[in-house]
Amino acid sequence: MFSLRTKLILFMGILIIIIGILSCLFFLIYSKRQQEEALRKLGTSLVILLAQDNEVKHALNYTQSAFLDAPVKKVQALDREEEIGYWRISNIKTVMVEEKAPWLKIQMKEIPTRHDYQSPDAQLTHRIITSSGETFYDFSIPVVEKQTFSEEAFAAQLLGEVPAKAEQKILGFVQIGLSPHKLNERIHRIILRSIIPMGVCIVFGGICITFFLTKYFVSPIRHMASITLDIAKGNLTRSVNIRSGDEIGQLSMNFNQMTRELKASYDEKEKIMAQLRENVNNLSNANKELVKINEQLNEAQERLVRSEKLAVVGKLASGVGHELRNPLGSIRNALFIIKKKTTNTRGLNDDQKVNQFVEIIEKETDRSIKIVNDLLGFSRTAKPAVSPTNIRSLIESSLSRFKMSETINKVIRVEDSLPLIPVDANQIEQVLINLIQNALDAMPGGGWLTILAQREDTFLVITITDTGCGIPDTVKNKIFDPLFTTKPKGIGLGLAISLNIIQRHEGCIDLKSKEGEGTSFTIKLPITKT
Amino acid sequence: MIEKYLHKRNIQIFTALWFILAFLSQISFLSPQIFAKENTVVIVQSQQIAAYNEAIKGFEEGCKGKNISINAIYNLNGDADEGKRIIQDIKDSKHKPDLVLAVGILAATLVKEQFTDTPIIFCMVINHRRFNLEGTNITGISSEVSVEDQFTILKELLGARKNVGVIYDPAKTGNIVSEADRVTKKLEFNFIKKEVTSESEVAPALKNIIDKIDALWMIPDSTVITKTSLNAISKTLLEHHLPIFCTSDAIVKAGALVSVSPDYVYTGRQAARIAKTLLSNPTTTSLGIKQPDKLKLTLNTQTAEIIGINLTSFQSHPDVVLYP
Repeated sequence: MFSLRTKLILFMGILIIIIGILSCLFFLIYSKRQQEEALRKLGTSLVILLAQDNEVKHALNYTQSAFLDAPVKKVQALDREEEIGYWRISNIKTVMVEEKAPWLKIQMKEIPTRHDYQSPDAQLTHRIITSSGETFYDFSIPVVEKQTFSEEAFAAQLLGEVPAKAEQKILGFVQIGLSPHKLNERIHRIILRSIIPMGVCIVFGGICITFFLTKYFVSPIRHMASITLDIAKGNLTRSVNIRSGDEIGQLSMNFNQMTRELKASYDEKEKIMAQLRENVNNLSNANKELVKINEQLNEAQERLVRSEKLAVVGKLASGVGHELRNPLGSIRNALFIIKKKTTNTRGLNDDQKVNQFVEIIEKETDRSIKIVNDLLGFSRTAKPAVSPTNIRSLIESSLSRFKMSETINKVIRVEDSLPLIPVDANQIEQVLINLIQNALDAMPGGGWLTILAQREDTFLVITITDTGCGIPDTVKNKIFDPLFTTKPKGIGLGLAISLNIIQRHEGCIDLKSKEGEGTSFTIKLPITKT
Repeated sequence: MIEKYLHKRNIQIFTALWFILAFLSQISFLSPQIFAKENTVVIVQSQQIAAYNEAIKGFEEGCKGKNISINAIYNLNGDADEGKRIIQDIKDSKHKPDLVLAVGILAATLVKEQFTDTPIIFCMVINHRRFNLEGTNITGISSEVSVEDQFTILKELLGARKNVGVIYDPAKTGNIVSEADRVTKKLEFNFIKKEVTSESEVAPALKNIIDKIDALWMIPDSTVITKTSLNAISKTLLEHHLPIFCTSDAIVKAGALVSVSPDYVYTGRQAARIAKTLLSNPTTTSLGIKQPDKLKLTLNTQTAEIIGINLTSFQSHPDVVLYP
């Protein structure tokens, strides 16, 4: 949610603020204690000075207030900050001097008189809060008649005698009250001149430190993050260039090491991928090859099936042809005789209907004979007797067999430089006739018949194109099957025979047709005999 | 007859003259003693305690027959201000003393301050080195037995190679401890020192060294020895069955095993002898700091019994004081 930089700045900011506050607080408490201690020392010094003053002792001893003027003035002179709020000097009998600073509104009776100095552990300093709410540091001390010199007391102790305490007669008491108003002013001054600037310095210094720390720590990490992004995008050549000897330097070294290993792994993977791609390509090529082989196999199978069919059809045709040829011959002969007799006899000749029937019988008989001949021709397709043949002559010869209507436009284009090709001229001519016949049949209403002959590499390519009705896609693959026909009076052997002939010449026939636009048959024949 | 008479008369005259001459001769030799002016001495004592009084008593005894007259004995009552006033009065009086005997540190320091040309003898000043009491007109008698004498007695008592500890304030008794460093090395003691700067540090310091020492040497250090600390130290040492040796019989009474200290009466007598020497020879104004002539050994038999130390060999000593 938050960036590392933000988190670091937040954390450091809070830390610095806490440290700043604590430091200021500590300094404030320390300064206050120091000031209070100084005030206590001043009060203690003043009260001891007053209590040890000989004139004070004389004044107390003889109850002479006048003797107190000089020592009191001496003490007041030492109070440069005017911190003394009140002072009171009393002997055992009475209070001899009791004064307060003019700026104080309190009454001296509000200040309790202390006389509990019998205990040696009695505290010298007390904090007094008057009924009007003013605070004073009260310093009270007894004034003793005399005090034994400390080294002499020690000597007495070592030499076996302890001076009797009773000898220290208490003459009276000295009491001084210091007002903390100057102390408070000093503390305010310290707050304004020291603590607040110190806090500001700590915060400002902290901000600078945070800035530099953030820059020092976060910048390399951000740099690494950007490099990581580049690496994630695939640019494994990037590396972190941080040379510091700390953890970040170690991290960058490890990161670079990781990147190098990642790059090595990536290169290895790429190598394997390339190998795989090559293998896939090889497999794909092999697959294509297999598909091609499969197609060839299919074609071969189809050819085989067709051959078998042709063989069966041929055998059937041969049998049927032989069986029908003789009866048909007999019918034709008998018809010839009948026709001859009718020519000789007028009775029959006048009968128009008989003549029409004879004509029909003759026509149909001729047709049946043709069919039988076709069947026999199909079954007896002989091995081509090849000889160099001019294809142009063959085309022209084939065309000459047809009596074309005027609606048929012919386009014949034969390359001039075509060589003689080794083919059986009769068989090829039959093929051309079949294909031209089919083209003409497809254009009963007229159209364009185009015959092209050209050389392509080692093949002679003859294309016969019509602009007829075309062959539906559903029958394209059956068009070369024997006994398949779309014509009402066809027997479906023309294309089968043509294919058979071309295959025997080691060539091929291709069909391109689009329903309604026309059909194009392409014959490819090898120019040289293998 | 007449000649016989004259001869007899001459003999009488001669004899009388001889006696007269002998008498005169005798008189001439004794005249400085008989007719010399009597020397006056003023005694100033810091305060009225028994030890000071014993020293003064010894001095008075020592002055007898030495043509030394003690004019007055002043007591400063341990008060520095009063002491200054008294000494100023002595100084301002018409009859200035020929010699001043200061008994105690307060008296010694104040007298030294006021009398710069009158011979001064001080005594009963504990650790006098601290107070810069040397001067051309000052002669003193140390109230401490020398460190070497103290450790010699300790060695006799405990044997050699013992661990002896001391707690001291370097500002007050650093000089004594420095000397003890040298002496302990010489006498083969292992000297363990612990410095303190205030009374409150004494108990922790003692706790720190108590397990490392065989005996505690207490020197006259006012930081270490106070009324409260003295009892605590004595109690702790007794609990650990360890002896304290010191230079104050008062500490022995408080529980220490042994102290070596000067005999105070003899210190006074020694001062009287020094006074006689100084007064007899006006050109000599100072004899330096002298060690006390006679020492006394104070033993606490009760402590010895608790610790388990046999004091039989010491009890036969002529200057031994047994306590209780």
